[in-house]
Amino acid sequence: MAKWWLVVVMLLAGSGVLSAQQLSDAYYKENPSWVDAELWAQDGNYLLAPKGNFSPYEKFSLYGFSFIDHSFRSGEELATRLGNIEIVNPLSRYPDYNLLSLLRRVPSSRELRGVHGHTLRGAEGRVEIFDTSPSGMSSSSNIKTQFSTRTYLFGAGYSIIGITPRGFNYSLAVGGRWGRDAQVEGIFSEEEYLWLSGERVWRDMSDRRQSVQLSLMVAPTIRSQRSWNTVEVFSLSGDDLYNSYWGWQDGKVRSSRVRRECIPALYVAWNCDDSYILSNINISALLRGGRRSRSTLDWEGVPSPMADYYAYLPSGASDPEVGHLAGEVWRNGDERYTQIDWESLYHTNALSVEGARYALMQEREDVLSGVVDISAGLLGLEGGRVGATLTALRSHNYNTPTDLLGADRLIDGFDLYDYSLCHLAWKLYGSFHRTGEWGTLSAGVELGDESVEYRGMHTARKATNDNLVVRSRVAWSRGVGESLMVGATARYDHLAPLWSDAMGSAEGALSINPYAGGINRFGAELWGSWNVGSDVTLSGSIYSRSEVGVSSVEHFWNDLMDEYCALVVGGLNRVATGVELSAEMDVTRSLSLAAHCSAGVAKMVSDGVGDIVTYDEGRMIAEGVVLHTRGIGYSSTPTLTTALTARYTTPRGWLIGAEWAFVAGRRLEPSLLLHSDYILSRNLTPEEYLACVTQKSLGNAHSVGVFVWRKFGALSLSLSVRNLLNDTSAYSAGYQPSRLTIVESDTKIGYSPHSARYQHIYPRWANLTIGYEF
Amino acid sequence: MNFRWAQISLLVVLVVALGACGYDSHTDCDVVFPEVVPNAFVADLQEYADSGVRIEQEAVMVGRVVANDASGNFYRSIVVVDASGGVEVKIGGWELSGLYPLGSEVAIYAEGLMVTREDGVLTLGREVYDWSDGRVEPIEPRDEFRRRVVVTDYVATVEPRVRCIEELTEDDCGALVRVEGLTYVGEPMGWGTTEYGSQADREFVDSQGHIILVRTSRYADFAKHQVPTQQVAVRGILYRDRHKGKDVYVLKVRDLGDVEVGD
Repeated sequence: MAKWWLVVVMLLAGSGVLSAQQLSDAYYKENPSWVDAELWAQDGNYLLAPKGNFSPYEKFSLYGFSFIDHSFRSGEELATRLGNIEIVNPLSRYPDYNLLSLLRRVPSSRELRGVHGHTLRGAEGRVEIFDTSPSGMSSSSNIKTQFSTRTYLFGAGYSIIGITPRGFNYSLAVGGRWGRDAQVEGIFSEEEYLWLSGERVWRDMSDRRQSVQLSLMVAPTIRSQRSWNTVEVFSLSGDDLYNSYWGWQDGKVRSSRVRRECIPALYVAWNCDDSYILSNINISALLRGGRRSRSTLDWEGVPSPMADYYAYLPSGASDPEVGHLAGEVWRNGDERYTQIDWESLYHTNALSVEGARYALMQEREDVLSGVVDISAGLLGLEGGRVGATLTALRSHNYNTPTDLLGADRLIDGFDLYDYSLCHLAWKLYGSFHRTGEWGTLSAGVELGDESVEYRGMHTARKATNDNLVVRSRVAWSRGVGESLMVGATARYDHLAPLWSDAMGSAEGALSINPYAGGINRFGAELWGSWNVGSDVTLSGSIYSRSEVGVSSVEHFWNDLMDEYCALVVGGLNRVATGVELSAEMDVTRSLSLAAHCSAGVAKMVSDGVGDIVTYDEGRMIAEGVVLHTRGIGYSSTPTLTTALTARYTTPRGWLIGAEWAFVAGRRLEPSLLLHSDYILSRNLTPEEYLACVTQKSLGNAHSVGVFVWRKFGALSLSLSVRNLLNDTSAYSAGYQPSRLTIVESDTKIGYSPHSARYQHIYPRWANLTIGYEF
Repeated sequence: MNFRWAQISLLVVLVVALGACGYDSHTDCDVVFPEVVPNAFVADLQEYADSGVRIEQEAVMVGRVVANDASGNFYRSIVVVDASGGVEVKIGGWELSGLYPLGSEVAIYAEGLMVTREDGVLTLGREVYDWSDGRVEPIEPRDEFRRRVVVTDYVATVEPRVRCIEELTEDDCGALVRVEGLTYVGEPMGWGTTEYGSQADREFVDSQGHIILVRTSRYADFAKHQVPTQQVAVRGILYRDRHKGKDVYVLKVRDLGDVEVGD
């Protein structure tokens, strides 16, 4: 239930405790604004940003609003760009979080565009643009120190922005974050960054402004991870933040899941304004090369070393007395058995004459990529812009042992893989705007081609995927009277299927997905924004998005065959539709309130069809299997999201913010295997059938955060506290494993899905930033 | 910009950075086996097997592993021998061959456990239920058997007792035994192929016509290998069972390396 009382209390506090005197324009000119506060706090402290912000990646970011995705969801993703280069992994279409996180910490200007009535650079609707040119900086040289209780303890950053006597603009930033998580054992961060940027701006003989920018970014990152656990494990450990990935070694905490990433980037951009034919020309390039990896503990011919392995738990025991004894281990808190016993792994390896049976393996992705973009504004065509982008990426994926835990070689039998992916894509794009009495029309289109080539261990060339890519967008908006804006947006995309993995065989190539013919995506939105008086803005939208021809590949351990398999699925059609409403009010010049609410559903509307193949050889196990996916939710995005925010600027210049968010109607992302006839057609009891097809709930959740910021001359201080009420009972996310427990008796074979795995939301945590400008 | 302050600040950052690392750097553990002083022998378990009572006093035995579940022929158990004889220890786990490789020295802390005699071999486990037909349940859960069966030294070779069938006695049951000069008697078939039950017996005779069985689980990884028709020497753990109305000795091999073709 909405906690309106909190908003009321804050209103009363703001009006009763603090003076509500009118502040002069001069005050606002000299004192910090929320924009300044967010620039300072870009690496973690800001809450829901000013009107119109929407960043679905906030839920992934460590520095967004904790676990809740309360952003606008009107069916359109947020693109993120460095200048004209989109920051995205073309193989997964997920944003490059490592680079994105860095850009939020180094000197840059961040701009959000889109929402309604705009189409940018082809078919972009919503975009977050980072401008790292020193001449465009809105911040100054500064040094910051940070103290946090989440993921790291201490951070520091130092940045200089200046201009040389010869007129070169430069910016330099260096810093990092280090330390262990204050509340979750086994979590630590060691992150550094170095940023160098130089720019030369000049006017040529034709008085055209030209600039050349060169930026180098290096950000080595080491972070450990938290495990996903079943309800039983949370209960046994008595710890909502239980992490099974660590254990003691020589009195020191050692994590088995560590992510490393260092992919330096070189960015070059040339810009020329006011050309004869073109209003603006920009040529940009982003080159990256490096490695990202993840360590995992692996084993061969020995029992699992993981304490939360299902067979070690009371639920995994067939004898109730044994189950009770298994629970005793957890109640006694013997960390040799409730965490990884690293020393016993060394002992086991020492006894093995054939080689290491336990080893720390590293899954590596060596990446070399380049993106070149050429774009130009068209004179004579209002807001017109055309461009071309070329992307090339080579990714070498393999796993290798990095620590044999005391042994000198690996025993035979470990799963080793080695393959490369080569991705090539080109794109032409164009967009324009037209304004008339009927409103503003904005349209854009992107046409391109993507191809992915897989080169695996057995053959030189295994599978390719070549597909035309189309993105298009039309947006119309019109003012009605002086206070009302309405508009509509329509989208059509044809995308290549997401590259998941290729199934190869010694005999020859098996297509990555025989059902993959490309995804057709249709989207539409109606929206309106109404300024009620000068201080209140109401806005709302209705949207619908449908995707036809979605395919996926789900890898799983096939408990029926004791072999690693892949479920290759096609024919999935899905629809998302919903409504979003928001109200924003400037109560006084120093107090603003906002309320946002979005409600919607995202469901599959068709049954899928798939094949099951063995992972190593691509051997067909089951062909043309029906997946009963119609009606299931395909996303963990909440059905209902509500957020209330309040911002207050005190006469003395303190910026105080508070936010409460509530989500409901969340469900686990389903396991497609458990919805397939490969499982459901077996002789299941009604209970077993329901256990397979029921989409578990993540439950409702709410969270409160506060933020304070103050500038004392050149010194800035910000403090944010998230999950103020310290409620960790809710889940932040979960998933349903595609695993079965098979129990054979004389008369029957029983099948029951493994328990779902979750992570709880993070408890109350604080982040303090102290900065000094010079 | 105040260069002096900038330099100092940068220095502070670097110093902190250098001092704040090392969460993921670890040195190898020293492998130190516990020193255990035994106070009992395997043969001392016989009185508990005969009486059916739980071991109520401290009983620590040290011996070497001569069989485990590597091939699947021994299910959820290991066989440990010392100078006095052998005992099969039932363990509620899997991949035990990795934890207790052949030849490794182990200490068994038997206080609180129960002993039976199954197919002539002393068998150690957690509990004997009324419904378990006299068979002992395996030691579990994981922490229980890791605490009770502890590796105390590296792998070493265990020499088998070399016997002919006539020389075998019940004292050899549970021990690693090698019998030479055996010839298979029966139709050509695999070691473990069977239409009924979970294990198969193959009849071998020596030059004097004495019979010994070689027992193989249908789940052993060599179960489908053909039994050789040539004369062989067989090494394995010795059991005793009824066959065609008579008590006979039974060998269970660890793997096909225990079957040597030719004499």
